Amino acid sequence: MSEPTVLAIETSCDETAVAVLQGRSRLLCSEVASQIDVHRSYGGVVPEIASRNHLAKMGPILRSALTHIQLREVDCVSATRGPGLLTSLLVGYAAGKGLAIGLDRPFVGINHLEGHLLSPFFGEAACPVQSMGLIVSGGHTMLMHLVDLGKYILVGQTRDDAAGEAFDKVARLLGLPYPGGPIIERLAESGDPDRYKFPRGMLASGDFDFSFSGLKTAVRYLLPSLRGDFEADLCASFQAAVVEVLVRKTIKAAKTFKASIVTVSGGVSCNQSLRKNLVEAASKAGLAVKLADPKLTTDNAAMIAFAAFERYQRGMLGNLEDEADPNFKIH
Amino acid sequence: MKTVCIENSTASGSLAFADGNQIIDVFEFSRSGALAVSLQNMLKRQGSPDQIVVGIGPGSYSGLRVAAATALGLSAALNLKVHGCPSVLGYEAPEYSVVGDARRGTVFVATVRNYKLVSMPILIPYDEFQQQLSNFELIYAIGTIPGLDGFPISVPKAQNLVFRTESFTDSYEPLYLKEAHVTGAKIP
Repeated sequence: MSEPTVLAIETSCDETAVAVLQGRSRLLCSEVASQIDVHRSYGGVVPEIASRNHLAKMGPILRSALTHIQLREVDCVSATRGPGLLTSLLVGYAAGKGLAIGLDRPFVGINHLEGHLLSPFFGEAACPVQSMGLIVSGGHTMLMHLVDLGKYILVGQTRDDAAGEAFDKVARLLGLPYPGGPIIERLAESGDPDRYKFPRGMLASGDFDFSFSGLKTAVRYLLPSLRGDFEADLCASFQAAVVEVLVRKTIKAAKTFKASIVTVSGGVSCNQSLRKNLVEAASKAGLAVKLADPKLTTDNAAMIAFAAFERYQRGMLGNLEDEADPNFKIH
Repeated sequence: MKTVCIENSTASGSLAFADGNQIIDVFEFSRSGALAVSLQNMLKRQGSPDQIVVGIGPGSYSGLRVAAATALGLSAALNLKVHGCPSVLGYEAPEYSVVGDARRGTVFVATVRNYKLVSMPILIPYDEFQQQLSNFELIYAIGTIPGLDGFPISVPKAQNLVFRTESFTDSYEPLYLKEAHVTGAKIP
């Protein structure tokens, strides 16, 4: 008998995504319709435009995904319930409910952050185990202690900007297009990370919270004094400051909470410097590392399907009466 | 032909199930979260429909999107067509006008003759609508509208919309009437 098949929809921000997952590892399809070109001209995501596009794309992407499977094979339907932009969330969440009703299958609303948190375990034979997870993206920067499925302890989080947001804001200061994170990383490859001494926000705070707004401000105050070819060095120095704080706090949190595994997920976890430095630091500390597959780091429905599969397996099903929740808590 | 109709353009939503020209089931609800459960219960009572009709407004953007997306999901599961129909046709009377608050100092107005729209709903400023009041006869107000009192408040119903077959379209996209509201400046 084949393993259960989950169909998942993700529309928490500006990506319209549908995936079908059989078991923990057999990804039958994962489709993402990006709106990045639409929002680039505004310098960020416009919620109303995102919502209109989700609705326009939902029908085609859903029908396309369903060409990969027989409908009767779907055992469970899931969709992202939150957190995210409400006007975006409600499109995918309602479509998921409609699909579940039509197929007469259970419906599971998934926390977007749970999707990220579990994504480093995607494809593994066993269910996710106790670990310290760093979720780092344009909207979130947090350390989450994964105790068991559905049992998550928030260890620390940013008090102002998310790390990815800081990347985008610094990119904007440099006149780089949105989204700026990947461009900063590319420029940083040829730069000197020690040329500019940027602050390491809250590194000695004694807790596991983060702050990146001071770093962004430091870049802003430094910029007017710079002349010549400084971009690569500035990007490298800025990136080094972000990565050092993320890595040191993650390792410290893992030790404090006696987690033998550290994980990293979310859009910024694609950053090669972060991945390399985290692997090295974890190795020195005797910790195992699980990095989310780059394909699962930006918003996608495969990670939602994976989280839904785990919940479906344990009978942790949702309720059709639950509504999309832009502030949906994971802990 | 069995039809299920979803109307959710206002705070008072409704579902109707029709078999040919007979309404055989109706349900009304007052929050979007109840739509899915109500729809599930209705389909358990009546079985699968042959087509889906959804009210496309004008009205609450969120309500319209929830209805359209639910219809899309249902249609994908049952391999059915989704028809859109202007929600303002969801009244029993054959001839009337409808006015609704469109925010930021405007109202939308639609006029219906012989169960059909005379023209697509239009947006006009509050004061302009007040000046044109004598042009309209029976006016339904969809909810309260600041500064405009005295109209019977009435919302469209799925059990009326389901029979406006001549106005069904292949598009389920809400009648937005306005460009997306953007607060930030567009980067050249």
